[in-house]
Amino acid sequence: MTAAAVQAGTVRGKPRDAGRRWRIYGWRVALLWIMLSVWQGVSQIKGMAFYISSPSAIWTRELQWLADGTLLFHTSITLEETVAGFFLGAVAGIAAGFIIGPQRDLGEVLDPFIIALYSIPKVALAPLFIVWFGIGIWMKIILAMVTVFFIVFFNTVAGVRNVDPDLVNAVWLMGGSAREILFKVIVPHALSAALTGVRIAIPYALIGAIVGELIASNRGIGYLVSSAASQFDTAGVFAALIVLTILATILNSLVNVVDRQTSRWKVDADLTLRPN
Amino acid sequence: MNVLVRIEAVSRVFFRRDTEHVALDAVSLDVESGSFVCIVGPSGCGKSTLLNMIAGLIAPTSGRITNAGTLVQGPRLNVGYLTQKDTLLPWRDVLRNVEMPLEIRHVQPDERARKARDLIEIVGLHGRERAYPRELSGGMARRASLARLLIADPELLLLDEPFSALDAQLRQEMQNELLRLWSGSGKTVVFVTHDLEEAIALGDRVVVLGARGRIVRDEQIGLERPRDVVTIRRTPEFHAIEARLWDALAAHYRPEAAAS
Repeated sequence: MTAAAVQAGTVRGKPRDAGRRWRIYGWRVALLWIMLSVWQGVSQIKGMAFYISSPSAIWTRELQWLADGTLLFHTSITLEETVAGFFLGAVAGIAAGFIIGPQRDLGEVLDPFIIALYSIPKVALAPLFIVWFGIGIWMKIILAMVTVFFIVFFNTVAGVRNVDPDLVNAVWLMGGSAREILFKVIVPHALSAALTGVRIAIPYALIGAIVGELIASNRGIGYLVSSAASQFDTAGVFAALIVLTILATILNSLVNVVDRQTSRWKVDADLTLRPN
Repeated sequence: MNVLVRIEAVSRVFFRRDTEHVALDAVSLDVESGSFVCIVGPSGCGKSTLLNMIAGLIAPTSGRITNAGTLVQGPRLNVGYLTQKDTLLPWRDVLRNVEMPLEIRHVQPDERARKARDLIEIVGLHGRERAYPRELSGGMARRASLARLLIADPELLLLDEPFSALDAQLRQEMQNELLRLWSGSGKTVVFVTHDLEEAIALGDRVVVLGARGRIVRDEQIGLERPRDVVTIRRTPEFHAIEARLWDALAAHYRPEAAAS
């Protein structure tokens, strides 16, 4: 929902807003239909189907994959890698953030090294991971994990370090001990920052897994894409990409759900003004 | 009357880029138990520094401060502190924020919830127990802070310009609220403000600070209690006191003290 739509929703009230929303949905469906029609039309031109396939061919492929179990098999592999990598990376990132965050000297010593590691495009690490972990599922999990780790780690460290000193003082003045300040102020604050990192990292876990599959694999959606492409099977490539799009969209909406569940106390105007 | 807080020749020096900056220079002041003392002065006169030292948040460079007869060396459980800025924990709702001081004192959960609900009722926040600080208006957040300040029943309340961020009308409302909560409680209040009218309307005693925390006037306020901060300002006695103290304040006001 865009900011403008939210504003219109609150300023103009419900009835008009409902009609507007249906119109938006209508236009979206229409746009999709137009794009598919143009695609189908162009694909009829001689030779074009090789490059762009056609919606009907892709649909047929999709149904075929669904029927023979290909779709479920490869999707579950990719999901497994994504979820495992995400989970390991998030846990490691939060743990490392809480260990390194409070220690300023250690943090400063490690800073250039961490930045250097972070700056490496993670894709470039894939060949190394193949040497270390083989071309099996672990290579993808580790790749996803490394990507997620840095995002969560940096957010957690920032959360630990950016605690409002006035809040710390307030609890100290109430008679709170260092332990109480840690567990009642610093940890909750850092944890909310860590959760922000976790939220951002969800789609990156998928990227890590897919990149791993593209580089070396015999299963997963990334493998489907690359194997279809190597056989000049354009319909297969598009069919796999569509599955990937759907998966990414589901993960992204998961992000929004997590967001709403975990951050009521930092509810923004954006959330409170959201219609219905 | 007993002296609760004794400030003896307290100085505080800050260092900024190798230059010495004297915030307070040999200040001595006794605060009697159960009294409402207002400390007024221009910004930069060191009044907040003084309050922070009474609270045990910072240590004096020289001199000593005692609270109930013992040397202040850090925050104490018999002291409640309220700053100008709201310091409610944003991830806790009103109820759990108000409970916080009792959590630190290891009070049982049902007991502290009961006490917190009582105080939330007293400060007029009934029905907002489950609201988060972000969902509160400025006045409501102040009320929640007041409830948190009072829940552990501190003997000494240290208030650092607690209402200066509020608009005039709300400020008067909160001032009356504070007087209502304080009267008959036997608590000692040290209230720091730059607003002379506020000091006179609230205090039993107004201490005017000049540069470096020098006490330029220390006056008992004989206005009747209970007071209404709005109507008390219209009395001739109030105007007389204000004129006297204003002259004292103005005579010792040096712009460079405010600037540094």
